[in-house]
Amino acid sequence: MVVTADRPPTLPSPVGTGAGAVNRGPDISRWLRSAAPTATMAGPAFALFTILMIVPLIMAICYSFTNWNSLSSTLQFVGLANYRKVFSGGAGMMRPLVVTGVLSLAGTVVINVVAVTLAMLMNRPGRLYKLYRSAVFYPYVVSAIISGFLWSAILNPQGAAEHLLHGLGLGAAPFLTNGNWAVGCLVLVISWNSIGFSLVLYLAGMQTIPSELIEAGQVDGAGPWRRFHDIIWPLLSSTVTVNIVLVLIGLFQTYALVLALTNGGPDGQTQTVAYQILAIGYANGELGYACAGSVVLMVGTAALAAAVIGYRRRKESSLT
Amino acid sequence: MKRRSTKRLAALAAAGLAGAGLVGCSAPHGTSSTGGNKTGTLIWYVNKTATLTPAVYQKVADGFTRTHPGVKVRIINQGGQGTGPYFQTLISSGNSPDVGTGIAITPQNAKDFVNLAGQAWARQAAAKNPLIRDYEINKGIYSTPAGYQIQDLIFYNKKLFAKAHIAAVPTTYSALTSDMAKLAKLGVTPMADSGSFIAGSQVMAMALSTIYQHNLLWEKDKSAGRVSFAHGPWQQAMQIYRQWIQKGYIDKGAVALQYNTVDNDFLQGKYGMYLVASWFTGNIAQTPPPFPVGVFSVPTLDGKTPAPQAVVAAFNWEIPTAAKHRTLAEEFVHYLSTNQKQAIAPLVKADGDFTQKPLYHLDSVGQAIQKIASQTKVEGVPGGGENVEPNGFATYMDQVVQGLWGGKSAAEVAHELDTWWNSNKGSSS
Repeated sequence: MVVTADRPPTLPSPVGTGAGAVNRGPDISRWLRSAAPTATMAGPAFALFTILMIVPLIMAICYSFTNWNSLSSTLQFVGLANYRKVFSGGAGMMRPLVVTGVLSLAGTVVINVVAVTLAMLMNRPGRLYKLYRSAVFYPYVVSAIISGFLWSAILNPQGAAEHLLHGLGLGAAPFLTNGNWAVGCLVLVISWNSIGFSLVLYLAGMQTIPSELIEAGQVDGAGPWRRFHDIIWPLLSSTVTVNIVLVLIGLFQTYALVLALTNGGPDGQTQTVAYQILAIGYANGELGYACAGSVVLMVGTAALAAAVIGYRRRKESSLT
Repeated sequence: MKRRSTKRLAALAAAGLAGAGLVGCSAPHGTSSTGGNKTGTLIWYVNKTATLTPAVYQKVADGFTRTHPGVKVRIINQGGQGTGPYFQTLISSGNSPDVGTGIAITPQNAKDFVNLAGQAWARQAAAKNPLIRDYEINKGIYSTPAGYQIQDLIFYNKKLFAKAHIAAVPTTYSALTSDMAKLAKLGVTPMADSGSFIAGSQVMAMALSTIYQHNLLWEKDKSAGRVSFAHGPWQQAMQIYRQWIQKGYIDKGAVALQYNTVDNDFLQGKYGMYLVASWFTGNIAQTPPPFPVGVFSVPTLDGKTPAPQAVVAAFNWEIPTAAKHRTLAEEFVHYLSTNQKQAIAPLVKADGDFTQKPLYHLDSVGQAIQKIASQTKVEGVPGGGENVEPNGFATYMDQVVQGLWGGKSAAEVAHELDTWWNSNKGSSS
């Protein structure tokens, strides 16, 4: 009996092996050739991203350490003076930071709770439900500035809301003349403006849930709340994460709505960080200070978004 | 050969004519615009309002282009409180207009604007117009105001005054408050007010009409620490203002109203009085109210009359050093500042502004204002030239005065103003 062992496959010899051979290292030209199509296709987008996002970001960080007034080509390095001013009380951004935080957190909760509730109610076939979904989505296409002016006309002391209250025999409500009420109105208007987008995301997420799972729950006797809590909600985890992060980042940048609805008043009590940066820092020619505020806002938003994503990922992995 | 030499001669002749035209055009002239061979599109940044419409500005621009063939004027307009900031944005983004308005020129930022002191026409205009001298920085002429607004005025509804049996206009604050009580009994809100810039400017008018009797350099003294908002005319004015709010003589919801809403409401007879600057005459002319309108000077806190009037330049044309057509811009500003018939008169008439001698027919309200101006000292406004306030003061003033509606005392608001000024002085850029 002859036993032959399988010969191992013959590997190609390295180029130039043997006496006098030269090791040329990795094949760069081959790498370049293989990377060329990727670079060609991604290049324009990368260039645009760099020019429109990265370069302005680096410039803003640089300007934040100067006293640039936007008019002059000369500027002076002022160290951390702008950042100290950002975190000072009075003329600084401490109060706007608090207002931005309240708006963002309250708005995120309201938008997501209402959107997921509406998604549950509207996740059904039929023309009527399509109409409901369109009606809820419609405010999202109205720009923040228009929304602000529209609601300002409704909520101001001569607006429709006061007329309605008067007609019902109720006293006037200080919608935009009291600081706390004005912040509350901002939360509601922001939510009205933004719920449509979150609704669409939640509806899309719900439609990826296999209907058999929900039917199985029904068969097992689970009521609507149990089906939502034990089946739908866990499977919506990633959609919830996306919604929370997107809404939070958007609300941190609230400016146009504040400008149109309250113009930062009364007495500056609804000024957000973005409002301070644009309507005050920029308007007063304090570009260095405005850039410092922008950097603080960016770092804060990024840190919060990272924290939320990290927390939600842990939650998602504990559910699967 | 003959043809080529003809072409060469023609080219030389054209070049010579162009050169002569350039030399001719650059020489200073009197009040009329010069013709010239300069061509190009001049960017003119203006402040658009309800009465200063693009059509008004276009007519002014047409008067210049008629005498400057080959020159076009492109008008960029911006309205409301964003005029100055947007001007800054355009300059910083590399799209500087050639001529614009809205940025307060200070010793810190004067180097970013063209100094016209070298132009004979500018020096002559400054010699005749004290307002131009008020805006000088270290003897440099960086802007040439062509008209002025008077700030410390109260327009009133004569019909309501008669109904309330108010026989004479008040000259003291106690009389003014008493007249407000009479108007309130009629069921109207005595004093019109709104958020945005109206509340802040009303308090400023009430305080400055007293301050100007004694001290025209209050801002300089404030930055040097010699005066303060607390314990003086500012705090007194805010105390009176707060009382008016508490008594309902000023709408408790005014901070949430836009100023143009209140302008229209006054013209519809919803308010008895409106403390606002003379530009309001433009609104009255545009939308004549169904009642006669009168005007009187804001009282002084110590009751002394007549109160000195503060003026603000109505059309303060500036040329950024970043302007692309600087020579053309200087000619255009020369035209805007000195051509009374085609440039100054249409603008001041539309805006309800005034000049040293009236350039348009004044109605009864305009005549009353001109009479007030002639009977009182008319002084330059603070924040002009070297007597500067910190950047953003007017905006902060508008914001912090709203605290009087929210329950803050006059002393608290005065303290906030002092704190803000002290931490921002020296930031006038």
